[in-house]
Amino acid sequence: MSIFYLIYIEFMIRINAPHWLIFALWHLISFIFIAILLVITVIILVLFERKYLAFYTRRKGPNRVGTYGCLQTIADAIKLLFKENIEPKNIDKMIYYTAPLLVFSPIMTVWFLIPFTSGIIPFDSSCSLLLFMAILSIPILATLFAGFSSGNKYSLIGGLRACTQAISSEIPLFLCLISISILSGSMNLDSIVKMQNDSIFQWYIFPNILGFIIFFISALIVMNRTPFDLPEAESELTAGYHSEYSGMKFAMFFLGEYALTFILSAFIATLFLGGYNSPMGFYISDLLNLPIIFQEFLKNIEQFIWLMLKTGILILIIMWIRASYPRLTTEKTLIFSWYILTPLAIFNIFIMAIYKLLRSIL
Amino acid sequence: MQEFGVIFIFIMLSFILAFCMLIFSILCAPKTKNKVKELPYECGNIVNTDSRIKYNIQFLNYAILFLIFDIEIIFLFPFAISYEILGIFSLIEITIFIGLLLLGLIYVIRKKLLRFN
Amino acid sequence: MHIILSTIDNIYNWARSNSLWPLTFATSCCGIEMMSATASNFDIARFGSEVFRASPRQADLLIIAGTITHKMAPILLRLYEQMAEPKYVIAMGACSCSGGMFKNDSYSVVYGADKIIPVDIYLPMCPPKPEALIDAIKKLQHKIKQESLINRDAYIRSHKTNLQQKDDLDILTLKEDIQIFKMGL
Repeated sequence: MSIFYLIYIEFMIRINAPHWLIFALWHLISFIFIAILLVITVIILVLFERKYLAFYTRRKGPNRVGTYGCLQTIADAIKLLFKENIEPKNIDKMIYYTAPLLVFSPIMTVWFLIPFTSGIIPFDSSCSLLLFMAILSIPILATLFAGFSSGNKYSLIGGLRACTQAISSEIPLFLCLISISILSGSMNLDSIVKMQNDSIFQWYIFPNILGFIIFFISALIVMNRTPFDLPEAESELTAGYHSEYSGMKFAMFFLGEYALTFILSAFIATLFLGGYNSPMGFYISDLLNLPIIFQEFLKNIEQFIWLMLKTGILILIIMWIRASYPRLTTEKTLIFSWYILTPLAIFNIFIMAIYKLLRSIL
Repeated sequence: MQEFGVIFIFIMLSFILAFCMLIFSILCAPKTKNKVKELPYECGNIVNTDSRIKYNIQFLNYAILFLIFDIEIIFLFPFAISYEILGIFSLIEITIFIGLLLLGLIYVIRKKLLRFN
Repeated sequence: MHIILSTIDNIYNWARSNSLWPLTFATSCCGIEMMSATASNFDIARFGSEVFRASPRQADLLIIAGTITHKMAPILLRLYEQMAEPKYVIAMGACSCSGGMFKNDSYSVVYGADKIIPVDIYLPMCPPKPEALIDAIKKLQHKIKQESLINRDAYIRSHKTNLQQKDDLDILTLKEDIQIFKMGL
């Protein structure tokens, strides 16, 4: 068990707490931790994207609001909170109000499945991998709800196109997950990370480089990110799937997209880049000779920093791609998914199976 | 089965958090109801048609194809996990399984059922 | 009590003034100046207006950059009505302030956008330099910071258009369009 859980249990036994309270409070504390992490991450990510894109176009991003603009997202969020709640005429009320919830809540739930350090795994189960992708299929459905329930025919078409694009790229995504499961033999994300722990050459990106590329591109399509972000661009043409939403409901679409970017990058880092392991094989905090408790804490902090570094590099690459490439139309994206990505992903499964067979023979 | 109770609690808590944010916004926001404000948005034009139009049938093709491949993937997951134990015979079986479904995909590609025009 | 209210007012106005999202509404040459104000030498993104939303439900600043013709007038009115409160308008350029160079005797131009929608900041010049647009946004921010939460409803109701005073759907018929055509002359 992890050091945090042991300290918590000992404290609770010392004050003679009842069993249900120990159980409930532990999960509540992990929920609060994840919620705070999510809020801080989204705030930093929105600002970082603006400043990064501004750097690419030789501008300065927001720099009046706080020092170097760090309070800009907070101002945006407060403004969106107090905006009027427009309720258009021909909407389907239940689906219209449920769609932003269905976009935001699964993305927040999925934060509980990723192993952040070896001690902080909010939900450790034997099928985290499948659960991750299954829960992430719900926001795709929510874009369809949003497009259908706004009483606007262009929103309907936009929502259909966004949904079709996303489900067409879910197939190569799942197939790459199968190739990872073949390599590791389990669907538990913590076991997958622990199997990549010797050095950088144990990371799953090296046998599975094709799977990494296919997964990365499919994740870009699911996140509705350039060069596949025609659903967002449609708001600029006539109406996209979230054109009839104002205020906090729109903020959930807006912030949910950034939360999804972060958590998919963390997922790619967990599967392919070794998760919280360091590339050298040993942790820097193991070299200092400290008493065991401090060493465990420092090791957890260092593992968290490694995971954040890898996620940060992936997010940097994603935004770099956004700054550099024009958009593809929906039809081209769909043809790309079905004609090229799916057969390549199936081919990749066979390569991984043969690789695993050869490694077990030799 | 008991461990999934935890993730269910997490889903409920996330829903409640998002719901509370929505309720807070609806309570604190200014309210002005106006008939023109609630019209559908079409860059300022008047909307004469119904909003539930007939859309392209090709979307149904994509949905059916996604359904078939999704169910195939569900069958592939147990194979992936127990591949080490099962050995090469299971690989040949899975090849035949995926091959049959790939034939379907090749048929769809050759018949150009995925194009929009 | 007063301290709490004024602090909440300060935070509320600070948040709203530092995150004004404009609506892409560029009809004429002033639109080019607005686009160049978002580009690299004069950057509105520094003031928080980086995201130009295309849907009026998500934008809160309408920069009328360009001439308003009789054909465009009902569209402008409907777009302004479809925006979410609290909303602000900057009339950019001489044509939307007062008709500009077309005021002499043009048959197709509405002489001033404030015949149609209520305007907060007038920005003359033909076309205004991007620095002038940034100055207008700063003046709007200063104006927003003087509002207060207590009179929020009264302030919003004071910005009425013709539509709200009549409050019916006749705007959609051709008869009402002809009436707006007559408004500019």
